[in-house]
Amino acid sequence: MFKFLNLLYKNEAEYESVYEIFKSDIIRENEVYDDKKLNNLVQVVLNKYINALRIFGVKIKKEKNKFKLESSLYISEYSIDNIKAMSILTSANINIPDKDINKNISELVNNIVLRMDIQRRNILNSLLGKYNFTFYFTNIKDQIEQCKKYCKDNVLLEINYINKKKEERCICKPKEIKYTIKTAILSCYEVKKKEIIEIALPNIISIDELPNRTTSFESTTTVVYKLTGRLAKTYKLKENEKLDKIEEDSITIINTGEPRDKLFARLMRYADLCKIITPKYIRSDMINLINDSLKNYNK
Amino acid sequence: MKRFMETNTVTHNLMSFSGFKSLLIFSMLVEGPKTYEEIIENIENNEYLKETISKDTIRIYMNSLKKVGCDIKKIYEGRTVKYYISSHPFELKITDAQADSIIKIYKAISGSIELGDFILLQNFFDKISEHITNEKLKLQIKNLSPISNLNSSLIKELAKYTKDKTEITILYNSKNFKKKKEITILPDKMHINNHKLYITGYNSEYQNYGEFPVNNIIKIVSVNIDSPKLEIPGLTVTYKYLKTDNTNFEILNNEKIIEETNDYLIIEISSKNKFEITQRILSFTNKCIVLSPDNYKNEIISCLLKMKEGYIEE
Repeated sequence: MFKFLNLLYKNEAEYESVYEIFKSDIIRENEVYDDKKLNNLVQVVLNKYINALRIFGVKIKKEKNKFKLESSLYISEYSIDNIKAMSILTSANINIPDKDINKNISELVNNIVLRMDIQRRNILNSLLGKYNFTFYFTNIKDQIEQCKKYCKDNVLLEINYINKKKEERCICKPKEIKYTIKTAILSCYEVKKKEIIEIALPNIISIDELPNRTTSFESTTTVVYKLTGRLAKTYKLKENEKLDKIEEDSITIINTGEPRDKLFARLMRYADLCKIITPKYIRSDMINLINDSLKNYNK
Repeated sequence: MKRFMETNTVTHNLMSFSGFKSLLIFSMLVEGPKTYEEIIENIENNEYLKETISKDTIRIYMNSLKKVGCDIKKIYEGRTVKYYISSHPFELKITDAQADSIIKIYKAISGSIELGDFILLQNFFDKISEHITNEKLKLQIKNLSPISNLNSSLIKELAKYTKDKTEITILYNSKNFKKKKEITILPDKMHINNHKLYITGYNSEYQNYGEFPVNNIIKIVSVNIDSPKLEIPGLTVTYKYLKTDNTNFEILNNEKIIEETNDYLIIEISSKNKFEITQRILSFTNKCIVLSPDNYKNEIISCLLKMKEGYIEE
């Protein structure tokens, strides 16, 4: 019966699999069964176990040749705050245009709901309309699915896209799709520059799949920068960073793999408390960015 | 089953009694530690069973539960031995794909949710993370939120005083000070910036508007209910944002678009926290031009010149 329950909890209780479990329990060595007798026996035993579960309080229904669990053998405690959090995730999941996320979150929420009491289930249902997340890129659903496929297939791509009002071309290996409320972003490894770049999907003009698949080692550019003053004392290292040096009034940080535009935007916020040390060409890019910003004021 | 519904009585033809007993024993042991005697008594008093079973029979049932993957543990309370199920195969299991989707959906909405929602989600992540088997993803989900390592009751208290605009004195521990220090602030706003939670407000002692990371606040020392309700002066800055691609501009709650063309946006941002405005302006790099007020525009130019000089000096 517990094997049967296991299938029910996994939502894999097709009649054939359940039948096999009970059949193997019934068949004794050296005994010969004709098919009709065996079928009847299995059906009787199965009904008895299903009835035991039902009388115990576990709700099971049969739908399209599959048994489904409608209530759990045990109840997990979820607070009202937990249910509110679930309603946030569920509401976001309804609108985010990503089939895999939709499926995974729905399955997870269903699995949690299955282990909740009726009262908690009702609270969750009543909260579902409270949150509303609008993702502004539902019109690029197909593009998202295509890019996800590229990531999964680990192919080499030539992407033509808009960057700073200019058309740019890059050869890259797609890594993953990231989302914000406003847009979907393709994160990829730029083969020539050896860095992670992020391209917003609406900026992509064309994508060509290149014939040769690359399996070469991917090394990303490392940027070393120095922080001074109060920032040196309070700075919290990011996921892709490590501390290189601590001096009296400064710290030196090694950053690997952060997309260049994101890194520059972040370091600009630190104003004169931050300086890029190496590599030289990235340091020059940063100086150019500061100069370009000053040119906006004719300075 | 129909007969059972009418009479509420069970027979061997209707259900498997051994199956029912297994469920009952499973349920008792999941609920908490039980002695053999308690299990026997429960079975004897069960309205459908009403039968006496021996300790040996219970052992057989417990062995069957072990075989299907239940982890049955033994504890001693004095001389009494009790048994309970510490884990079982029917527990919620969060797959890697589900954990990954939680991370993605969370990152997608994290720019659009309020502090209260961050707290709700953090508590939920703490609750479900025990069901994630992949240790890396488990850690990632536990630390996903910017408030993951903060004291949630302190955050709630700070949020309450911020909402009520009540002056508070906090015990603050910063690496910039050599010792812990008491700071009095009239809180104005709590916000998340660069994956850190801050409380911002007016400091009457120094007569300035400051920003304090909540992870440096040890506790609220006192609440100054009778303090005068000060009006904190605000700053409004107008800037031009140059559109360079096809992505949507993410407008903040304290911003409004004054003008929009194909090439640029004119935006007005208002805040009592000048530092917050400056951070926003600088993060746009060369895509942003401050239009007014003139004194603030000059401050930004000075800041950029100072940055440039810093590189030249070396």
